[in-house]
Amino acid sequence: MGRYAIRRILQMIPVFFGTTFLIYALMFALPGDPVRNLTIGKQTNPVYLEYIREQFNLNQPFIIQYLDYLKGILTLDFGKTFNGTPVLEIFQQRWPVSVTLALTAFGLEVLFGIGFGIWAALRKGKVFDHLSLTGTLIVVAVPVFVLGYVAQWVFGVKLGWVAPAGIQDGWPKSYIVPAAVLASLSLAYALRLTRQSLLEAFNSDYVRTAKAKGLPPGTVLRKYSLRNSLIPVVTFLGADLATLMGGAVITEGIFNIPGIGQQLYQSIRLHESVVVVGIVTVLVIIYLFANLIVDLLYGVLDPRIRYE
Amino acid sequence: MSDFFPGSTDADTFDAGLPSLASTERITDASNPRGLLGDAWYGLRRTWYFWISLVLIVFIAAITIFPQFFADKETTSSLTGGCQLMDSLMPPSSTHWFGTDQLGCDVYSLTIYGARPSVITAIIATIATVSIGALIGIIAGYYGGWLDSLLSRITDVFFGLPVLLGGIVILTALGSPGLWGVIFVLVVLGWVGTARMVRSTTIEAKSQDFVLAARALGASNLRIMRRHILPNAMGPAIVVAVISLGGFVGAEATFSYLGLGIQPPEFSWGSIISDAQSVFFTAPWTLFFPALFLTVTVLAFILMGDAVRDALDPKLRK
Amino acid sequence: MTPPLLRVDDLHVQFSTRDGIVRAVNGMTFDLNEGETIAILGESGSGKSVTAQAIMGILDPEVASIPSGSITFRGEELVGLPERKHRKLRGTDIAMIFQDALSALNPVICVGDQVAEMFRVHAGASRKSAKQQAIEVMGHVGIPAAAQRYGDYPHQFSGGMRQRIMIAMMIALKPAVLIADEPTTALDVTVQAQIMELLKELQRETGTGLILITHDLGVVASVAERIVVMYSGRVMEQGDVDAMYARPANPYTIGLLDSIPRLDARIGRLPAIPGLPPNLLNTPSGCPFHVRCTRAEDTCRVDPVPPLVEVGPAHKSACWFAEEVYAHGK
Repeated sequence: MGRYAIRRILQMIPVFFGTTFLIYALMFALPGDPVRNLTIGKQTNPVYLEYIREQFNLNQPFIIQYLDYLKGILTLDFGKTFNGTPVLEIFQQRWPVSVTLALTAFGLEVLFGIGFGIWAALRKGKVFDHLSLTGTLIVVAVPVFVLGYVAQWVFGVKLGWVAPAGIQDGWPKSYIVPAAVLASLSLAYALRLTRQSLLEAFNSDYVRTAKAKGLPPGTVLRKYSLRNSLIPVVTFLGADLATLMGGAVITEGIFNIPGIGQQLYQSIRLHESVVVVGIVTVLVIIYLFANLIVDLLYGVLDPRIRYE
Repeated sequence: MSDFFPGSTDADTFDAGLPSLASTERITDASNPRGLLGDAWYGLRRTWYFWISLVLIVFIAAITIFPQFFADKETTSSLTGGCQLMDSLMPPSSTHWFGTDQLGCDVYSLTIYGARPSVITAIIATIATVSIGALIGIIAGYYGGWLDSLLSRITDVFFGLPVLLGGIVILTALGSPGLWGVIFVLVVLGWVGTARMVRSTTIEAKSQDFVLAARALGASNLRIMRRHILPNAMGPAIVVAVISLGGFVGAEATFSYLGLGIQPPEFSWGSIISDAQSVFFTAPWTLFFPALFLTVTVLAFILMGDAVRDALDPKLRK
Repeated sequence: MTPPLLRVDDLHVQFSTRDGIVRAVNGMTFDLNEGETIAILGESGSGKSVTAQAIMGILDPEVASIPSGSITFRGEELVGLPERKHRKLRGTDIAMIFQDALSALNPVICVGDQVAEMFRVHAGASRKSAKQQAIEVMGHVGIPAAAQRYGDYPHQFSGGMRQRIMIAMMIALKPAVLIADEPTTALDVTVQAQIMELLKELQRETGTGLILITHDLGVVASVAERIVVMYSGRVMEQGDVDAMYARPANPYTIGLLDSIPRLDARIGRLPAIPGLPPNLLNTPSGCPFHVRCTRAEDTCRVDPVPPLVEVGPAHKSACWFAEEVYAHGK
């Protein structure tokens, strides 16, 4: 396990440099004048142009710009807003709300994604199975922002169960609907993945062996079918936790939840490019680390990976 | 891993899982006289959701190519005087089937004319991602060695960047350049899935007897790739392409919704929905109909992709 | 007269598939006595494994059914036996070894626990005593340093060792009947011999009745006392090994025997049975083998199917020309 972990961590280093370089290169190595692109929608007053130039080091050669950006990441300096607030500070203010939302969504995914997935697999071909397959298919096809508005309208306006927006009612009341919207897509995937992988396990040789050993059905399900088929589901959900933080950009925008996603949403709309780049950089780093942790978790769960 | 966009998935993780009338178990393959294509067509014909998605896709194609046969462009723009402010936010009626929006524009016409930018963006992005992904995948898989290692590491780097976040950064940096920007983002961040899939199909095909035989007979690398490897990778690539189409329609809508995609005065489903959000509570039809068309389009391509996959290779259905 | 240990009588098994009903087993019949080894021989798809799974009661109830026939274990009927009762027999009285131990063992549980599970579940042993007994039985089947390897996972073992673990697991509770479904097919030739030797040895110790399912005639001759030859879900011929090898009474058996190389025969091209086994969805009328049979005449091509007739002591063959074939010898 130790060697496996070290190898995974070492593999992560080039990916980290590559990804940050990619973000930066895609932004500034593209045709057009970066200053003009970055200031679209803003007044082109000289002070603002100077601020943009300074924040992105646009007077320097590209490679120096990138190294400076990298230095910023390693020293947790993700730039400043035009008003002089560091992006890191915005993060510190807003992350608890985003994490609460993401964890609530994650809880729903685990509970209903895995739970209904198991149920559907056990009732394969029955009504619940067909319902869950059709339901998840629709959820996958409906864009999140459409689902968000529909949920807001149904639960917030028509039924009036919760306030349509904001977090004034605290957890869980204010979080449950946005969390469900945020979770919907991954929940659908988790459900299908659980069902699929459980059905595969039911037909596997090792489950047949377990039956031939005369083990009680409950033991066969828990120690053989579930134990094996949940490995891919757990790794999927693990990686998804980070995606939930980033995916919140739309959900938090719709439900007016003052988290990182909402800040990103507003910054996009206000063309605050420094903040957008800073936030996305942090989110991508979180995403990379989450993937690393999932890889390590995978090693813990599946001995075949650990010893490969 | 989970991608943000609806339907933009690799073929392996998603499967509509609908009951198929097509046979999924072949007892004896030797007794099967049909070729791959004939077999695929045979399987498709027997799949009910193939027909549903086909009808939907034909309809979508029609409104994309000939919107003028379905609606009047005049009524989508205040500039031409087609929208009257006094008609603002009218509910659906016989004159305005889907009602009107804030500016008094006809939502039905907006919805019909909103299809083209989304669908065209998705088609171009799909062709480009699949071609680039297939090319890189074949090269990496066929030549192996250091070239494969290098390309695989590059693939890892692109894989480390979620499409939504990456797209936001790039489009912001480019100053929201419109649909070409969206296409650029989808291609740059989207080729990875196809490349990985084609690479593994290539590695599998490379070691098969007919490829070894062709090589023993002195066929050139290029010829082996074209005649033997490519046809093998074709099936899965088509499936990915069809599903990607749906995913990219959703992706275009998402970026346009965020204001990073299509720019006014042009409009697509995503931007219509974005414009409708402020009046949505009082006039739900402004959002409902374009959202319905968008969803149905994405759904149609997912179903079609699924039907094609089942038809091409029943074994792909795990 | 006491009933045989295991009796399979006119067993039929069918599967409902999307393409129609597959009749996998059509009238399987044989007896197994204590300490006896019987080989079920046939090509893939002949219904050997399905028969074994029917005896074990692990056919998938959603698709498989047993429309007629009976399986009795020590006089007790197993067809239609409630799952709870059938389960109690599995692993304790009737056990089964599978072909590919790599996929048949749970990849994420250490092998020791998989063996110990038998003692825990069926004998109610404590964790500690189950582990002790598991190590003992693992050592007994020839796993070196069993105590140290207890915590290892299946993929860390060689093919032969994995099959030994599988055997340890299934003989742990000294079952009266052990079914071995192609136990050596996935292994190297030298390892094959070792595993067969181990099975034989274990059987001598415990007096287990062994059903060996195989398509390998070489294995059969060295281990089994009696043979059941299956084709297309039917018994073609059954009898004692020596008698059948010396004087087969069915053209199919002759075909099988001719297709193995013999040390005492002149070198030449080995004859193979032409054609393919029939599609079980659409079996030909009459004798299922007539399509490929060199001896076939018009009577073979129409129903009814030839019945099993006695040609010698405990030697039966299902062929209209059984007597003739038998009389001609080889």
